[in-house]
Amino acid sequence: MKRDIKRFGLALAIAALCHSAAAADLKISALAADSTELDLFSPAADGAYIKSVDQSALKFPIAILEDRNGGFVVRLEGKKYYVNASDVVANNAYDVTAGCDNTFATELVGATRGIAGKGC
Amino acid sequence: MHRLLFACAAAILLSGCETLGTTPRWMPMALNNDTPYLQQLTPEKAKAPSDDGDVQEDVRKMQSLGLGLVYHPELEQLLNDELQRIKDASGFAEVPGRVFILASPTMNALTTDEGNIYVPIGMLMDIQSMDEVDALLAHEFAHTVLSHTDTDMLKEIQKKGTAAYAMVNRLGMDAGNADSVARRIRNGVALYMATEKVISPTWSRTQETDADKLGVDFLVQAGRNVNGMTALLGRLDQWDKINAKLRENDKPKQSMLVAAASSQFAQNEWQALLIQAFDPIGQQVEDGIAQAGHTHLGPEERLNDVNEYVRAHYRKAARPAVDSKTWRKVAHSQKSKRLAQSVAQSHTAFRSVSQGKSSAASNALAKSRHRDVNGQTFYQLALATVAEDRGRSKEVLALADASAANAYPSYRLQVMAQQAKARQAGGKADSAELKALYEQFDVYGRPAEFYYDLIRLADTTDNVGLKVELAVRCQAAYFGDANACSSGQKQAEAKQETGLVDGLLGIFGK
Repeated sequence: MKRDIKRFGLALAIAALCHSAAAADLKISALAADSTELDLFSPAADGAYIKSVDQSALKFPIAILEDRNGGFVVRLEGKKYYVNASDVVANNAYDVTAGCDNTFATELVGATRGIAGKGC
Repeated sequence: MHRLLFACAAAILLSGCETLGTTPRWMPMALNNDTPYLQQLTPEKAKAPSDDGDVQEDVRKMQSLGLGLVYHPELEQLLNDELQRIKDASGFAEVPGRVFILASPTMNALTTDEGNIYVPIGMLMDIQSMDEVDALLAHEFAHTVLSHTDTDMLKEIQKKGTAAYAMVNRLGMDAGNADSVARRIRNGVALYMATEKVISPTWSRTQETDADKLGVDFLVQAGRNVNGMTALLGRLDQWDKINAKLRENDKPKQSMLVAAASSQFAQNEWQALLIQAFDPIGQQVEDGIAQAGHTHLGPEERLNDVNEYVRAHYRKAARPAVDSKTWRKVAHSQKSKRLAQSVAQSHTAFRSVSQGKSSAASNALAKSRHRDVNGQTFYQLALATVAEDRGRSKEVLALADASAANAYPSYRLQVMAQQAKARQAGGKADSAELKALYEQFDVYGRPAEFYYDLIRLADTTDNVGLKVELAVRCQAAYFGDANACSSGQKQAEAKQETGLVDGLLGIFGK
């Protein structure tokens, strides 16, 4: 029993480590070519528009806390915001069949494993 | 050989596709970017629902294309609930059509004239949220609303492809194991056509961008995060690569077709070499046409266009939290993954049979055996294709029988069953059963690729009326192209007509 708990704890620790490592790897390096401002939205369920921040007020790289499939959650001046993926240059990738939980036709894809949505 | 023919048909048809379609009543003459597209439309003028019979016929036709459809009621329900949500929010609630899951390893959704949307199961495995799948459905639904759906071009391509393999079948009849070679060629072409039909874009570049933009409007109206479209378009580049690979792999093996032509027409080694020399030329021409026909904008261009549109109209619109949980629970369940994997393996098996690798096909299918998969038509069809290749008529009949009661049966399996029965009866089909099969042909929307099989079966009976009717209807369907409307019975005449040069013309030029 004790051994099982230890194993479970170890697995949990590895999973947490992997997750934080993946999240730490995700960064915004710049605004998209034609943007001069970054639009900030609430990361809550309603996703309301909050404000736009001028490029000069931003310090890159900005760590991405969460990849939300088309947008990112970031922390700016101590507050969490949701930003559009299309407004920024980031090192995320929209994974396809080579993804970690997708067993479909993996032999067809030569792409390297990227960082996809949640749980990957 | 048929690829060149296919390519020429595509070139002619593509060059004419600008004239396709008319402006529907709810659309202005032209859409402009100054206001959201949806505001420029008048949904109250939308067309009344199509005849339910047409919608059903469209589904049955797709059931018989390639490996047909996947039966996954939970996922299908979720997709249709989302489509209805988009329809209701957009004001186009009465526009007909449902979503179905294609048993295809391709990565491109397809919308037909009847408003039905067919999404390959692999795409659903890649999509990560309700917002992203809604973006896909919104885009496809936009094609319907904007009246882009005109499948004439695809029908033409299918007909020409069918004519090509009928021709090749006729050529192969003299060879030692002619029937099995002809069957393999037929399977190869059927697979290619199924892949091609899904991959080949039907729309012009403008139509594609318009559907993206109207899709964005639909997405916002439905209360989804507009970034679902960004995520979807972000995956396009890699999906395109998968499609390109599939297109290449599913091309019926040219060497097999060239070998059939060589054995039929070449009098000596020189002539055989001459025939084989056409292979790379055909390849080049077809590749060129494939490029020209690739009317989809590049993923980056599409993404830029959409981003510009979103900034212009929805910059400060709310970005509701994406719903990944609901989506993944159903679409990425163990059952869904198993089904997706078995589609890929069934496709591999189908391809292996057409390449004469029956054992490899069996191995691929053995990996898929599972209670979630065993009753699926696509799986039974792949098993039956292997059984047919091995001359196991009983097995084919048992599989056809088992699949008859499925939610999405395939006409292909019914045809295979009749062919198996005819083989068991020493090459003669039962006239009454063939008549019943022919009646089913109408129910399935008369998929062009089966004319040749039906005609061959009819030729083994003494039912003159059926023979004449099939020939007349086939001629009408092919606009007088007689190649696919006569069976191997006439091959002696065909041989007399065609020498080496005519044979080459028949293969590469007709």
